[in-house]
Amino acid sequence: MTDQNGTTNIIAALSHVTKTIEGTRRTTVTIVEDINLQLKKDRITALLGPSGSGKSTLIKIISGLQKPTSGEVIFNGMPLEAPTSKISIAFQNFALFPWLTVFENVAIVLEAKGADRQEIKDKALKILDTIGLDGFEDAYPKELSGGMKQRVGFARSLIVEPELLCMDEPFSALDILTAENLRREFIELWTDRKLPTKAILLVTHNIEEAVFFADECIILSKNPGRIRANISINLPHKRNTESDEFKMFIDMIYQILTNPEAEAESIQSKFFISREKYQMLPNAKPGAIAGLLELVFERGGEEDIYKLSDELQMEVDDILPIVDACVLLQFVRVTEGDITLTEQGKEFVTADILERKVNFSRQAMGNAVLVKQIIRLLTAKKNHKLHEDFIEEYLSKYFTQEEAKRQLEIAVTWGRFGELFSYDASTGELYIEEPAANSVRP
Amino acid sequence: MLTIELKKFQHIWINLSFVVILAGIVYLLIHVYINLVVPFKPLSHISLSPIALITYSAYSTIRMCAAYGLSLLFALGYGYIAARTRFGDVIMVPLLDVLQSIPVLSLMPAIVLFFISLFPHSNFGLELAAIVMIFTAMSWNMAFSVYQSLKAIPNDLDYVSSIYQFSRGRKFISLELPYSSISLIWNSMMSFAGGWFFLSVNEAFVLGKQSYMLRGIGAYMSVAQGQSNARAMVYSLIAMGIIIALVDRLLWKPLIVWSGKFKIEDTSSGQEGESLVLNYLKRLTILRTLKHLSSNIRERKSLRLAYSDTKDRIMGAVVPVLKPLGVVIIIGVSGAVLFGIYRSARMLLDLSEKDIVYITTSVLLTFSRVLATIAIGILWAVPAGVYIGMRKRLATKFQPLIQFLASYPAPMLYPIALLVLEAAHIGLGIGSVLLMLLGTQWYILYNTVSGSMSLSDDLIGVTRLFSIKGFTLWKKVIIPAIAPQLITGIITAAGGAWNASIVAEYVSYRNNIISTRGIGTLLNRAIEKNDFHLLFGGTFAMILIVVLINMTVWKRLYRKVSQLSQLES
Repeated sequence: MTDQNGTTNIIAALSHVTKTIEGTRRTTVTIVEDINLQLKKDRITALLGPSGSGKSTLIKIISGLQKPTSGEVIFNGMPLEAPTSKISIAFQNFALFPWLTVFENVAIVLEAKGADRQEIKDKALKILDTIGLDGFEDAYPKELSGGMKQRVGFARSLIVEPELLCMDEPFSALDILTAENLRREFIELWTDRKLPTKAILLVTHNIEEAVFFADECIILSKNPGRIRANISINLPHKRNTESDEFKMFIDMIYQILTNPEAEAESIQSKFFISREKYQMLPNAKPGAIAGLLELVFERGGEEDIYKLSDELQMEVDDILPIVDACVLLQFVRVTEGDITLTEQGKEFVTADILERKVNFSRQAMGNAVLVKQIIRLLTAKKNHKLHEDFIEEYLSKYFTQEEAKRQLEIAVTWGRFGELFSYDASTGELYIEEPAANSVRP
Repeated sequence: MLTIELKKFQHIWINLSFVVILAGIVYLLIHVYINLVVPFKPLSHISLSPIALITYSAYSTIRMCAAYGLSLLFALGYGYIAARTRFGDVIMVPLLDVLQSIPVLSLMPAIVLFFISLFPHSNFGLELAAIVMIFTAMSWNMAFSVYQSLKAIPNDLDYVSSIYQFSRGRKFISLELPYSSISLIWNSMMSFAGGWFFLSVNEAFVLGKQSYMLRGIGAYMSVAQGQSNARAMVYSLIAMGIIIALVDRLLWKPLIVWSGKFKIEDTSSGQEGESLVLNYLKRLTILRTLKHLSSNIRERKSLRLAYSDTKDRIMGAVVPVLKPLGVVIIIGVSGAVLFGIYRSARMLLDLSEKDIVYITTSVLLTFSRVLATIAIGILWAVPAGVYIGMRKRLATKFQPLIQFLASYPAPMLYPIALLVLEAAHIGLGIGSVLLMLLGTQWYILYNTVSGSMSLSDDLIGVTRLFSIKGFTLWKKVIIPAIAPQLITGIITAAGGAWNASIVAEYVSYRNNIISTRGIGTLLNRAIEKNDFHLLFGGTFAMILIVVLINMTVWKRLYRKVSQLSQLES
């Protein structure tokens, strides 16, 4: 993903592709309509849709096996006229020649290209070895299990070193465990760059499979097939299917698919916005915030962030949350990499410790939503006490479990520093100290 | 060490025996060829000695093989073109339906006169005529099977050959031919049986005033029948049985076992069993050495370049010609067909009222006999077939026997059947039904057996579990389950019965011809009297009724029934 929007990275593209067929009684049936998509280098794109959404038709159009009624397929910058072995397909039901051995099934596609025997042999043995078929060269497909057959299918489609590998529901004819295993091995080979192909198009109706593989997931509607949503899945590969992010994507796509009438974007935004709607506190301790402000103040109230990180011998990534926190609390402004103290910031730096606390609490109350909300909840309650689980649960609507915990932690440290509320770690309770019983806590 | 030596020794013997067998076959073919190019002699002398019978059997078998080779080439060519061109679906397939229903007798005069005129001074022409007559009994269903197989190639495999840009030749060799082979081999077996059926017609026939006799087992049989030589008749029956069994063991069995690898289903069930001949061939190291040698030669770079160079040059020269040539051929064929239709119409219009009445009554009579044959066949063969088919052990034992009976040419049994009919005082009018039944009932039986073998154990289990019995069992389970196969069997049997009418309605018995009114008799008479109007009118009527019934009844029924049984899977 060196260049996400660079045109040079597009291997194949569909532009306004529509396919209609003759129905009964002189009607025309639209299979897919106005499809625009781009398949980019080093990316796995998943086409996901219910049956009848024209997924398989699209694969045939992309590979040149069928001509679109209108629109065109661009491959390597040129319109695609006929099938080419630069775009190969792995089929759902493997499509192996039952009368040829594993080796012959793989070798035949190079023979058809007129390669000489030694080259064919070398390449075939190499790809069979990579794909885990070592020792099965002389077996016939009917002697193999489903998983092994699909390996042969993969090997055949990869031996031609295609630019684009299309996979038409490649795991759906396998039993669950075999499919799971093969998926993991496949993604392993892909991330290790052992698969001789530049890009992959995966057609599937399995949501989990799509989220597992895809960098980009395209959801189709049915009758006719149109693109409903195009979702980027920016999770690193070898994805953990148990993680919250993974489940979030599955949940979102599930909702889009089960609500065919709904606007996909609104469902999508519900997921993304509901999580971002709540302000996120940067992970910075008050001490660090004060330290940064002091440093900037010493430099005359203005400094370049990179210079700052250099001097502190800290990574920019480590400084950024602190800077963010300062921005959020309105102690500084950031413009084009330069950090400038605000009036409040100067006030904070020049104050003594008690004044600093008052200063900090005022800024936190005014700008940190979570801090403000906790105070409001605590004052609303008669005993001014609140268990942390309550807040954590509330936060988990917006954040992942882990992040919710961290957000609470940040809010608590900030609240305690500003002496806005206290926290009893042994009971896990937050409370506002009674003014009468001042300084009970250590 | 010793075992290695022994194995080497075995190898040498196996390879040596193969060379000897090959030499023997070549010698036999040369011998036959020399005998074929004798001066023209329509009426060969037929000796009834058992020794002569061995030679005759060889002649007949070689004729059959030649006709089969011709049929194979024709079937592959015709089927391929029909499946791969638009012209094929529109014209070639319906034409095949018509050709399939032309009785060999109707074509006989044209074929015989044509080939004799080609080779007026040699018996070669007559031999060719016999071979082409056998060809007309063999080729149509084979061509149809190739067409159907090519049309049924799974899409995915087709896609594979287009994605990886297989040339037409490669696609044919590695996809189309293997995919068609299983069905083609089964149809070849049926065709061979069909060829034997008319052997007596093809080797001994009368055309106008001229009688023709070719040395062969069919001619031997008719001479034996003519002379009422019971011993010779029994000899020929036995010889026929041996030939069929030998051809089955030496040709079909190995082919079927070998073609098991072309099965598209992914089950690895070893239903095909084993073939000794195939095992023998597999042990021949000489074949492997030859194969290696040839591929090594082909692999040579200079040769490959030269090859592709000449290929390109030839293709470059041929391809531009091909298209216009195709157009010319299509125009030529269409012209010939149109002219044929015009002439046919003229001929039909020329028929007298008396002839038309004669033709109509004859066709209807034969039609009712065909119906009776099928009804009787169904009545006994369906229950028997289901009984056998539902007992897998029994079925695997019976199937080869049924196949043998189906390929045994029924006309050779007619003398015995006629004796029975005479004893029972049944005339040929009804008796010919029995004669037709002799050949055709096996198709119904065979298909019923294989249909009920495919009844799954689960399905049988369910009927037992809920004690579904008697009429309900038959109506709701068995008949629907075997219906597609049964209908195939009935269609084949009906075709066979129509053809059989030619030999069943008009038979020689004890030096006399006995006949009964029907289309078979009509065609025989027409040929005897050289009455081409009548021959054509009768043939036309027969084709018309067969094709019409095929289209309106059988094909529709088949489509309906196969759709039903597809729902299940």
